[in-house]
Amino acid sequence: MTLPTLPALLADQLAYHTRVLLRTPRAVIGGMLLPILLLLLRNGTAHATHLEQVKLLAGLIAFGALSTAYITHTASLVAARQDGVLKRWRATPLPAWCYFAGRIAAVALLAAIGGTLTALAGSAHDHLHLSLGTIADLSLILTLGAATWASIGTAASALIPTTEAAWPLLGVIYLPLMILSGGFGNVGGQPGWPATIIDYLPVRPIIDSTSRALQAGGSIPATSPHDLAVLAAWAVAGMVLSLRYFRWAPRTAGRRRHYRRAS
Amino acid sequence: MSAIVVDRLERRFGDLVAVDDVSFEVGAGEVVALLGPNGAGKTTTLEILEGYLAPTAGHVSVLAEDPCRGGRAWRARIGVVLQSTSLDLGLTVRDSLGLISRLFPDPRPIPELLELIGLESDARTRIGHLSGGQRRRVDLALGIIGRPELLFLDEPTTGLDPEARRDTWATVKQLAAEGTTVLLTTHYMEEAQQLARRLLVLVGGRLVADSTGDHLRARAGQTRIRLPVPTEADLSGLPDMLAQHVAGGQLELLVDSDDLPAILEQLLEWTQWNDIHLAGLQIAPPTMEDTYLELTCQNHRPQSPSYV
Repeated sequence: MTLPTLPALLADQLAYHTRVLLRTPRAVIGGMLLPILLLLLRNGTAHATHLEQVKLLAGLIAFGALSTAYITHTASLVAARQDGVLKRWRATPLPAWCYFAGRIAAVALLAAIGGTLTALAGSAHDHLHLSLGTIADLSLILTLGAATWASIGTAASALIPTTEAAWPLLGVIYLPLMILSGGFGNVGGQPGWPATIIDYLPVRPIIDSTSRALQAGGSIPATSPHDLAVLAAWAVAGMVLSLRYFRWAPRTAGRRRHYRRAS
Repeated sequence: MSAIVVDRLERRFGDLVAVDDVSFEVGAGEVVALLGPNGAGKTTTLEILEGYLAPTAGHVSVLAEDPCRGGRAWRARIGVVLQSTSLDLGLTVRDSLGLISRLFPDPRPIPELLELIGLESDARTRIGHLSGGQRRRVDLALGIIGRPELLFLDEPTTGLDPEARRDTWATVKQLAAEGTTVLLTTHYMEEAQQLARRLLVLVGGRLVADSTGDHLRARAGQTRIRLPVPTEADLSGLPDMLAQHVAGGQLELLVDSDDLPAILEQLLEWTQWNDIHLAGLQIAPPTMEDTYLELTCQNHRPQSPSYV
């Protein structure tokens, strides 16, 4: 008897994690409905320039994608660890990388779908032209961005002890970073050095690339080498930290209290 | 050939010693129970053998591999039932079994598993809607789904009702009869006796006994005497060393086997004199639970392992 092939395992994992995400209210609301709701509730865009409308839409698309890739992915990873589900997977012949590849691919898929839906809603709301080339570009950017943030979230999960602690610990990074990176509109009066730092954090590259894709309509590569390099660097950093610090089992402080101290 | 080899195993968490200089072997096809009070190091030992934790010192080998380096093929040969339920509550029973079964080269058919755990009628029920005992049975099914050569069971029947517990025992006995090696932890002495021929007792991270249940009981070298004593009985004629063991309408004491004839003689004389019926008199070796409690109390302070 031979072990199942890796492509079969990957396909199975992708299908499983996509199902799990689709039944997670946080993923559907935060990644798909909330950006569209914010788009519709936005005031004052009627007199905004085309460029301003595009940048606001790009911010909302990034907001939804990061909500799925960072908040939902990481919080559900912490929940799965706390409930012992990760430990159960680890006891099976499924390779660890296969589990994460399936999980991150599902997150990227959902982020791309959510982003495309937001773009379509924005196009209808703001009368923007959305070509197939733009949608292809957007999907690529969001897949890259989501994979990067899922990698960061996987590493961050090692620092989050419980499901209850997940949202505050994740939100305290995600929301300020979204605002400072211009996800909800231009942040005026920023001194030079914070703006430079923000350029090297993994939110602005996603917003800028999305914005370029919406403007260019797929006629030019939307992702600049700088954006790609920043996202790739953060993805690799997340992966390295995950390999070093990721835990499959929940913390066992309660159990360790029983043990005697070394004399 | 040994399925498990543990040699001078030590595991520390910072300055806390969870497992301290533990050595034992489990032969292929053997069923062994790992016993000990909470915090004795049972689960830590099991987690090291399952590959979740690395030893701080010492050496372990499971199916001739280092568990920390065991690959897919090795993982397909072991089965694990964790201490607490570890299921995706949103999946149905059938989907959960199907998902895990597709990871193994030769999984048991899902209908066979459903029948084995008695959940055929709940196959389409979401695991989140099952009772705690039913979820535990799904856990067991996931542990044996890949026809493991070696099965780790960490307190597999905790929280089960007596009927479900008996069903689980029957399943484990069936697996053992098929040649599966089983290492289980439990707090139930009856379970250990029912399932395992050999018992390992851990106390404070140290192995204090490695023996069969019968040997452990015999090693105590004592006999338990129990006699119901009517409340109106006159205890004045009863020797002090017996009278002090009368409480709640029952005389109960453990005596060294060598002293048994003399003590029985005194007791029988007193019962005859006071016209007390001997219908409820019990003279027996201590129960497994008595022996275990004595062993864990004696070894509360760590000492060298003793073997029978």
